[in-house]
Amino acid sequence: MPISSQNSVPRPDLSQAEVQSNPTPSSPQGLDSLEGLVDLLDDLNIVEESPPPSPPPQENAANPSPPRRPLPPPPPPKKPGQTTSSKSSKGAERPSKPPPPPKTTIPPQGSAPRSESPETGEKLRELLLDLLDADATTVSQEVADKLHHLEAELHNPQRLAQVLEPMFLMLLQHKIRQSPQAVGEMLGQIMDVAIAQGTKQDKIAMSRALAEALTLALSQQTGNAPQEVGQALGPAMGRAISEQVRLEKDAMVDALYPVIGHTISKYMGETVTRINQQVESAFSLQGIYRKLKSQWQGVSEAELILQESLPFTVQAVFLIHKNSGLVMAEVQQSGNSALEGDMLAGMLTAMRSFASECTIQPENTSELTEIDYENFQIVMEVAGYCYIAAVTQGDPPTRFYDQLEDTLSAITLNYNDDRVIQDYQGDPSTLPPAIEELLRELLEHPVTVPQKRPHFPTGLFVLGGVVSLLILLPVGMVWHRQQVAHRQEEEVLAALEQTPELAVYDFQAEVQGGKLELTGKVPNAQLKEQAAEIAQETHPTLEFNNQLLAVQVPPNRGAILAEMERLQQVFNEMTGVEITANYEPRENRVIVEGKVMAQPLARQIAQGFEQIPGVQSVLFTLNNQEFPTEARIYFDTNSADIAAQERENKILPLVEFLQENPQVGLQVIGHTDRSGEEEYNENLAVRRAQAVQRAIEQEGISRDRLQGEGMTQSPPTIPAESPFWLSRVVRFEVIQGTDE
Amino acid sequence: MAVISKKICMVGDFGVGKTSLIRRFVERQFSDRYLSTVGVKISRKMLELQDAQQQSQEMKLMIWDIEGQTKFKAIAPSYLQGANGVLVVGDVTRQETLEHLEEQIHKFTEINPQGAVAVAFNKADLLDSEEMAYLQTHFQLSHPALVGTFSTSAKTGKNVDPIFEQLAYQIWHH
Repeated sequence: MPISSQNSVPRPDLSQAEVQSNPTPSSPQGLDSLEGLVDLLDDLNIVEESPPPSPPPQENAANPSPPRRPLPPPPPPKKPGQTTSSKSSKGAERPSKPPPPPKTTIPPQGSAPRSESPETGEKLRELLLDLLDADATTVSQEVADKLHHLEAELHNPQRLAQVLEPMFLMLLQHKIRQSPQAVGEMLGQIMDVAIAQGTKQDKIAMSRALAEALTLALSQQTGNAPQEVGQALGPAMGRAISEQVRLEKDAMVDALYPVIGHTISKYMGETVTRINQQVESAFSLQGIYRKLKSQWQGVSEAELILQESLPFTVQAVFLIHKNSGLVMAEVQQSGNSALEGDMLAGMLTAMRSFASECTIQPENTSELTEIDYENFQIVMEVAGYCYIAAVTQGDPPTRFYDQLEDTLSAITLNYNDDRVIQDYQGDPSTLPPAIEELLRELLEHPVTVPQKRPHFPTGLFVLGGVVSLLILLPVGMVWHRQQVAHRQEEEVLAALEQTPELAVYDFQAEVQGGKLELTGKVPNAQLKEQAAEIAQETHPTLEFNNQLLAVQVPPNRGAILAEMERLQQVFNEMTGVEITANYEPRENRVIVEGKVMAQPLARQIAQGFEQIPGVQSVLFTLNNQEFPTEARIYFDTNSADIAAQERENKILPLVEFLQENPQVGLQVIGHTDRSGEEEYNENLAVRRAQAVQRAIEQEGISRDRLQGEGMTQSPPTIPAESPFWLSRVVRFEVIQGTDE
Repeated sequence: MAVISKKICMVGDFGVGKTSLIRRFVERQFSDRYLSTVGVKISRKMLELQDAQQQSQEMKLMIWDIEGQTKFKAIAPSYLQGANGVLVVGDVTRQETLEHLEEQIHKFTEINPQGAVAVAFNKADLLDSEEMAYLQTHFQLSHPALVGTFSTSAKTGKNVDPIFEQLAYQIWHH
């Protein structure tokens, strides 16, 4: 039964191919009958046509060739020979049934011979029947076994797998090579299921398998359809970032730092530039104003700078009907997302109404003028029937409010013809277009804090001026004082230098704060005092601080000699002085020789030499007799007559001296001895002086140069116990400075 | 022709459904949830009107949804200022809200003598037609500015568009 059922299957499958193909080539019936058949075929001249019956089964088998090839080996050709007759009884049932198929195939072949010779046809039929009968009987058993075996194999998946396994891969490869599209389509149908199943079974393995491709696929798709990838990833991005932040904040910070840092730095850079400009203007008038403002308002200067740094811009301007809240005209900055003017106007109007309903007493009307948000504000200027609302960013400068007011005044004064504003009915075409122009002016040219680019630092100059004045004024005063002090110091030093005894020393004079301080070194206290006196006399108003030191300078011979030389020269230039000074180093003594006209001069000279540092004493060996002014005219007792030799030896040389030194005047002093009466002596002394005066006058000397005087005492140099004649005398004292 | 803007107000006791009517009209939505309006909420709706002469006009309706009145809180007159029309709303399930309609109309026309008035008997879906008919006759309103009385339902959308459109038309052709 399985045989017939298999035969009836229209499509030849493996078993059928086996059944049909095997018997045909191996047909093991008697050689005689085969030869007879060939002969017959030759006779029928259908040899060329005879191959067709055998190729068809081959061709049929060729299609399912892969499965067929391994199958032939099991039924080797010798099998038929072994079991030819064993199954004849079973084969007997078949002859009735099998014939029809051969019959159906034969007619086209047999149709030709049948028409040629009915005998041959008959023979052939018999032969074929023989052949088939023999075939059936010998093969049927073997075939049945084979089929049974095959069926068993088919129902044993393990065996089947074993059989198919080596072929399957090959088959698949072959198919893929042949038509990848078809394989793709086929696999595509189950791919999702396969992946889902795989994931279900071993998620980790699946992830591992997909991991590598996934990243590549993602980047590929990002290139192909960035929009889609964006849309797909977008929603999860926020959550992913939050999760990452939660897990590892630092990594996220590091990752975003370059981006955010850059963004922030860009924004801050701009702001800082503006802040810098503000700081640069710190010393401008504006900067000073800002400092003052920050003091007044109690706001930090930084905050004010920041306020000024965020530039003031007008985003939009609306003219709104006050009652209805309808927008009459509006202008907005292009580039910004447009503000919903209608809604804004309505809400503003409602807010104004609300505020006036809730907060304002009926008797005092007040208007809402500004609404402040964090980063923008709405500034309003309200007139009778309409108001302007400007949406601004940054701190509005005070002048902007004025500008708003001016604009609104312009609108209400110039464009309210026929009460178009007052009775506005929601139709903007009823309003003159000039209104919008006015609003645009607000939008495009809002008054800003005047930003003169090259800041002329007026404030700096003013401040600088004040500062320099504050500095220069005291400096000037100090300088002036110093100048004065310097001059005073110069004067003091000059005065000291003009004093011969002091000229040689180094003095420092310093005038400070009304005090004169004199420093330096002098060899003795006397010189110190002298210098102090001279300094004080020069500037008696200054408080004097004598810091001179009187030091005992060790004798320096060279210096002493030089100084001595100098003094000698100085003194010799004086009238009536002709001296030579010599130094005696052993005793540090100066010996002065020569002539000195008058005694006071000699004292002065002695002091001069004594003050030479290192000089202990001065010894005079003067020959004053030779000096006519030192001469003394002696008189007899009670006489005022000048003896002739006295005239000759003393008066005439004196006159000669006076003639040579016209600047010298003489004090002519008459003396008497202590004998006699005082009154008489006074008279006598005068008469003696007059006598000498007259004698000099007679020689041609002007009377003006002579002053007479009488004294009853002895001359100063004559001690009291001296002989009387030394006192009966007229002597002279030089009066200097009468030369004019 | 330029778009003209008009302001209309919604007036009525609290909870009569003013906000719901607007929501239905503007957003085509309805919600049972009651949210009390505080102060004013403003909505905008563009309408394309056409008259008998085939003249058309685009109208931008600015609808002021004013918070409902209670006996403690009267309507703020300044909200009504400058309105071209008013939609006075009553709740058919609360008769007292209908009793206030007349007074509310009066208040509006006092401030806006030229304004148009429409009356909505709202929540009509909650009553059957018989009851509605009774109410409409019982609360017969007559006012020169009255455009009409509509039984409306924000829930079903009944008469919502017509009442706004009628009001807008009246305002346009006033």
